Amino acid sequence: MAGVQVRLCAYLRAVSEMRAIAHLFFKDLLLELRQKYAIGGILLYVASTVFLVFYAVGTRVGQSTQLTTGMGPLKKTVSDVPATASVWAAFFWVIVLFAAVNAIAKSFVAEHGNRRLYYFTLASPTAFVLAKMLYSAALMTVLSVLSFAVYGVVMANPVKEVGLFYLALLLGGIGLAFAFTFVSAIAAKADNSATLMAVLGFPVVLPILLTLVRLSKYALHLNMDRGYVSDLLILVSVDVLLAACAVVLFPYLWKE
Amino acid sequence: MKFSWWKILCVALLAFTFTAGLLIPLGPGILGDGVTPAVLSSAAPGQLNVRTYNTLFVRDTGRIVARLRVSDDRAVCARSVRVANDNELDIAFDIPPIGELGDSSRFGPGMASPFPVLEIYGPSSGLATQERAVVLRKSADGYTDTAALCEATPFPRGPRMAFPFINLNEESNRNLFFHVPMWFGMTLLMLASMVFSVRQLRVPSARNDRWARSLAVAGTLFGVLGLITGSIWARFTWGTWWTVHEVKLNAAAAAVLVYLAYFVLRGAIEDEAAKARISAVYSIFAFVMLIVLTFVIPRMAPESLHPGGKGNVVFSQYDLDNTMRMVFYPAVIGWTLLGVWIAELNARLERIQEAVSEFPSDR
Repeated sequence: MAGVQVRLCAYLRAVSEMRAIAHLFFKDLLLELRQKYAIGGILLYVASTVFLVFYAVGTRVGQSTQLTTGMGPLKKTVSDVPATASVWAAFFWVIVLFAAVNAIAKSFVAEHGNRRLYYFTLASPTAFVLAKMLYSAALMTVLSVLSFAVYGVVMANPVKEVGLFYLALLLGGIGLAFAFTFVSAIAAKADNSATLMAVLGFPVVLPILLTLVRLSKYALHLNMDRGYVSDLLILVSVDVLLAACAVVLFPYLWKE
Repeated sequence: MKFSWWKILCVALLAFTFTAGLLIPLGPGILGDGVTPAVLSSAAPGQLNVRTYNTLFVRDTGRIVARLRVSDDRAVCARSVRVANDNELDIAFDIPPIGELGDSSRFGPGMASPFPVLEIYGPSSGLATQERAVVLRKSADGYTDTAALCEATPFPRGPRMAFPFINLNEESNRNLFFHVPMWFGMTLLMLASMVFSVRQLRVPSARNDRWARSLAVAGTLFGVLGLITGSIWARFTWGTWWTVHEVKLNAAAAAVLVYLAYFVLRGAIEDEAAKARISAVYSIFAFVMLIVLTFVIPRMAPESLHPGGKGNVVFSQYDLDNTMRMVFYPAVIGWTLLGVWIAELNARLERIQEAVSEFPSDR
């Protein structure tokens, strides 16, 4: 009888954790939708960087432009060398990286101390961090797909293996989201947390980005061997490790 | 003073590493660009000029055996050997018709056959070899005149204790005792730092925090030294200080950056207790990233220029013979102990500074 009760208790606790996670997740979503300026700001960031890249590179990938103006002695021709696919990939991941920093930096840093205290009376730290990470992952998925869409329209789309590229984008986005959420939780504890966020975050996301760059070389057919399965496995294992680290270590962070 | 046997052991092992590692000579070898011409035809006489390293051909004159091994047990033996100087030979061959080199099915796809192997042996010099020393043009009809080949009997061991001569590496082989132990040492020191961080989270104490930080300082120092020694080695062997074609290099640099961020984090938090707790959390996280960056990613990544090739983090058995092992393992232990020593001094210094700052200054 006692055993049944214990198991029932554990089950109920698990259910209440799930409910707490769901509630916190939708709380974040609601806040995002209410404060449209936050997500709007990130989209504006993406749009202006894409435009800047287009202006700096000068051409779309694989398409040389040739403009002729004037006639006779005033005739003037401007021609550009087409941008290469590797330049395309380099700028794309830089855009995604900074979109991730901007979008996720606020996840902990923007929460005020008192409000944080209030959340912690409502839910367990594990539920809290899981909800944050899931929300960041969802946000990053949306943002990276949107960035790809805008970038693809402006800079042309040289991706040859679309499925692989979307898979890399999804797994990489989740990895960036997990890493920056955890780093944001650490940085929120220190003064000057915005700078610290970048300092702590960039080395941590380097393995994800190195793998993403390799994967996009397969997807763009810059690298023709078929070794991408191991790179996908690296991304999956890094995602899982980051999630495990955050769940295990976060309770020590908010204990004060 | 407390008697610390391990410090004596550390000094002894490092003294051994430096003396043995730098003084034991390199074995005889054939220089990478030392065999001319590059192509020989079978079923014709052929002449090779060979430049070698650390051989004593003058003393060996008349007793030098030179042969081109074409399979496990068969070779083309030299007709005559003329000694130019201690490190240069002119070898004349009468090459019989040769079809296939060795049993090509034995080497997997992508694995090049080592044949023909040029082997030169002298009683004082020892054995110098080079795989794929020349390109041997096959006979037109693929026929091999086995009767004209001599038997490739193994040579006796060389007379001297020596490190193996590896082409491209040459004398830089010795960097193995300095470059590789840095990564072993860094991993072990960071592991110890992580253990102290876990203890810090369980039982917060100034001592745990001090040790976690000091071990991370020593580990980061080793990481930076590993990058520098590796970069110098890369310049010598691959011809470049740094390359994107080697994932280990870039992953290791990222791992060092992760730990540099640890020190930035420590500097950013004023409150001592909060600093100890938060940096302990980050330190555990950093160790996980270190394992991912130095073990998981290099094992799974497709390309590597390091010896041992795909899937091997450090080196293969073939690259490390017993003479090198005799110095390498003591070097790993010695360097790691030195790291612990540095960490201990660092921790003690910090404790003294804390004590001094607490001491009331009246004047």
